[in-house]
Amino acid sequence: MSDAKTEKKLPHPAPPASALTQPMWDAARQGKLLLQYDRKAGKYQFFPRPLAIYSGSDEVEWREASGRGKLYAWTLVHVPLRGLEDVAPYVSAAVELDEGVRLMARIVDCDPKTLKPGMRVRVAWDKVGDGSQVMYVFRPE
Amino acid sequence: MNKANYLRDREVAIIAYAEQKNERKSNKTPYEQCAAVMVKLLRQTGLKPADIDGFATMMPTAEAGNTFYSNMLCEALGLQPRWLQLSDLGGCAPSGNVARAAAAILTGQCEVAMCLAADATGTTGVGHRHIGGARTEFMEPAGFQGPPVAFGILSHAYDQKYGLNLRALGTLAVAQRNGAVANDNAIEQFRKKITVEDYLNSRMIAEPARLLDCVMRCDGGNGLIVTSTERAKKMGVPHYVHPIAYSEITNFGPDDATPDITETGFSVVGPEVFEKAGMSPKDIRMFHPYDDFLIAMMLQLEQIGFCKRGEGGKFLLETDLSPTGRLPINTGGGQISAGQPGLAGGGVNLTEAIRQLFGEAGSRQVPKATNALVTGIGVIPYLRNWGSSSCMILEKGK
Repeated sequence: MSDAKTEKKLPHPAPPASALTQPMWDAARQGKLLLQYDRKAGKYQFFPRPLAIYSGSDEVEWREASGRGKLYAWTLVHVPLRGLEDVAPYVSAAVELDEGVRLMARIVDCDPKTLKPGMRVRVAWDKVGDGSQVMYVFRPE
Repeated sequence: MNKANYLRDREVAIIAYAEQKNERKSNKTPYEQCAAVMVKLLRQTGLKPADIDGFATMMPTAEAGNTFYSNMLCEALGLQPRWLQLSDLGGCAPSGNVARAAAAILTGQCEVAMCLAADATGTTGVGHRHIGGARTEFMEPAGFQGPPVAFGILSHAYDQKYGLNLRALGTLAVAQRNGAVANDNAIEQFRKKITVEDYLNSRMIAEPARLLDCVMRCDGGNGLIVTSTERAKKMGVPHYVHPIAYSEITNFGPDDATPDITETGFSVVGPEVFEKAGMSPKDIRMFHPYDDFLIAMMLQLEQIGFCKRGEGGKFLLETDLSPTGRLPINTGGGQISAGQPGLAGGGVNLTEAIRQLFGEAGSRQVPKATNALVTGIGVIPYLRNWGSSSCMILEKGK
């Protein structure tokens, strides 16, 4: 590990899009959260998969999510991922969306001590990487 | 499902084990660690490289990106296997390889299989690896800096549901550290006793996961030789151990998008391995659970069936876990106190179980060590507990 003083500050880590996930990240830049929907099973899935995990079919489509949900469980991260030093300690949480899927996301604009299981949260967007990309975060409603 | 037990008749035997001392930074590659283990195994058994016709190994972090690792390892070691297995089951790989080697032997694919595991994460670091997939795209941008984040969230879910008994986890930390003090192969900096207070006061990594909840990666290697019991008898080896039942599961509960993340694959493979062996938890002489985090062991105790869900803490406080106690646990320190040689870490628990069953554990020897339960855990998935869970019951043969 290099000396902390000489270590270059990295930007917040950006999600590397693939051909599969590009539509989701394109929509994210418009402030829209997309989820995959398994038309056969009538259920949402997250993270994006190359097929419908419930039915094993290829009948998967993107649908815009409400961006609203509740806290399931979380951790206060004291030893940050590189790039997130400026926000440490930060909360990484399992957020359960109203669509019935969970997302791992940072919870922002809150005092971690005030978080409660089941607390309502809403999506927000953090500029990441070179600033042209965004990553979903959540804040208490 | 999966109830057939091909290991039931004790036709397969582990005839030798070997382990390198865990070191923070060895400056050795996995190839060199494997070679050192192999030299010890050949010396112990009198076997020659040409006698090894089956070979199994695992994917080390230090070799991430090498898509020809197992083949190149054979070339480096001078082996010409007729059965070759590379397992990327993370911590399930070492015992999983024993199960696979046993199946290969019983189906006539090979006769003498060497299973080696080595990694050098202390030397290479882990920053160079590229796992890709959901880990890089959906976990790291959400703040995932490694397993402590997953176990922090998991511990919080457990705390909400059952209440997290920190003193019980501290008791487990102390018991394992006592094992490391007695274990020459443990990483040297961990061969110093700790107290429950040391555990409670250790700094937070990903709340509620503290420093002393977590395993520390290092360099090391381990391995063993599996053959038919018939051949073991012919060779006249001083000791052997039978794997008598094995169960494994990967990607537990894939169709539940909002699961109780405290539920693990052990809820399936734990009861199943006992059914296969015709045993119950009370028949287990000692327990060598995969231990990347203290809470992982508590969840295993509950879900394999040593106690009820939510009562792991009580069980830990009421049970003597030392080598002379009712249920000795990870008598050599486990990985948390002996060090985790990267993805070869599952071999730390496995070799200690065999060492005990051979009666070679010295000052930490478990009296009447007749059998052992060894487990494996592999891979952190996306918000769903862990990826692979495995259970193997070993029985003393000779």
